[in-house]
Amino acid sequence: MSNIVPPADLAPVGSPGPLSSVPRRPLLVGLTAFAAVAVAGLTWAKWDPYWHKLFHVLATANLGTSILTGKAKAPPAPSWHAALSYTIAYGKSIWIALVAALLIASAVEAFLPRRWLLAVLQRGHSRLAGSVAGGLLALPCMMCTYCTAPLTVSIRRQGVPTSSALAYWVGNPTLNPAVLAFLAIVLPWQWVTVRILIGVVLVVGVTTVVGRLSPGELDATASQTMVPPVPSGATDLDGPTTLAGAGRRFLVALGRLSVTLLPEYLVVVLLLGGLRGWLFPVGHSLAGLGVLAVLVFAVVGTLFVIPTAGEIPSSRDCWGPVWDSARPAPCW
Amino acid sequence: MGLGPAGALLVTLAALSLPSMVMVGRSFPVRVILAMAGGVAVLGLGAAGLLVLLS
Repeated sequence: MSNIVPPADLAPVGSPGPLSSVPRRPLLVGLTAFAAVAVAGLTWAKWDPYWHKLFHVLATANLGTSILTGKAKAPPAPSWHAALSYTIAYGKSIWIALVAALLIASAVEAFLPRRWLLAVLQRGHSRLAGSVAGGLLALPCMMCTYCTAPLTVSIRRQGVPTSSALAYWVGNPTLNPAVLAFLAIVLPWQWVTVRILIGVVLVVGVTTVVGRLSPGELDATASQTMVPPVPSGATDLDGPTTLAGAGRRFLVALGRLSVTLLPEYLVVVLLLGGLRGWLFPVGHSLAGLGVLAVLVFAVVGTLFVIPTAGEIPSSRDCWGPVWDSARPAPCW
Repeated sequence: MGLGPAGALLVTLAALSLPSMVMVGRSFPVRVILAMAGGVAVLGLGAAGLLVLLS
């Protein structure tokens, strides 16, 4: 029924070559279908809401309270209620983006011709160029750390090299243009400056270096015939050639991503949300620790999960004014 | 509390998370994930220092 060539039979290729020998129609249909899903999903989940939020923030210069503490002055003590309330708050905050991410990730596997994906994200043998490409692609997507995951999984399944995929994975939340704009509006200039400088080092520099830990990819010494290993789940380079094949692949990918997503979400977010009182020790218990406090927060921050832009009130509150004074949470 | 911890959170809270690392854990070698986590934590320290320095 399906005309798709199994990936195992695929002859190895270097960088995706010219398209002259490939029938163009399935490619264009696949690309159009992917673009439709991506644009619709991102508009619904990100572009439209952030456009409105931008005006709201410009008018009020207020980003609200931290999701870590809610209306209180400090995160709650560990309890089942703390776990549940965080999971619900976090879920409410991200569910639209999560649905969009699942649909777009499935479209990456089912509609987008792999050749085109690799043309964008695999820049010859250069990890650095790949990281830059991954970081740039992340900018319009604006996903939080969790919603980025299904998209990263999908592009890796399609054989995108490590550095590029890592840059896409961390670039989404770190260099989110909407978050940078909010930072610039709500907080002193030093905050957005630090975020951008450190963010670029992370998204481009660290990912390029870490990419070396994936052996066999993009070896600079390789001849033209050396190829990155093709993952066993990857589609044909030129995308599915039948509508039914594409549709079936879309549903399979959507099912697979959802099944691996939900249980893990529940367990880990419940755990982190429940323990946030311990993970984010505030006020007197941390006051005397100085540099150690920075270390603790650096590690905890790496592990903890927060919705897009949620780090702004959380780190701002950490700065002090809320917990040191008897006033209500500041409206900047 | 101060700017240091705030600077650390500013970068590390956003960039990575345990659920995300678990989710992509099968897509990369484990050492890659661990190296990224380490890199983010270290850069969190850098962000703390930079924020304090600039302010």
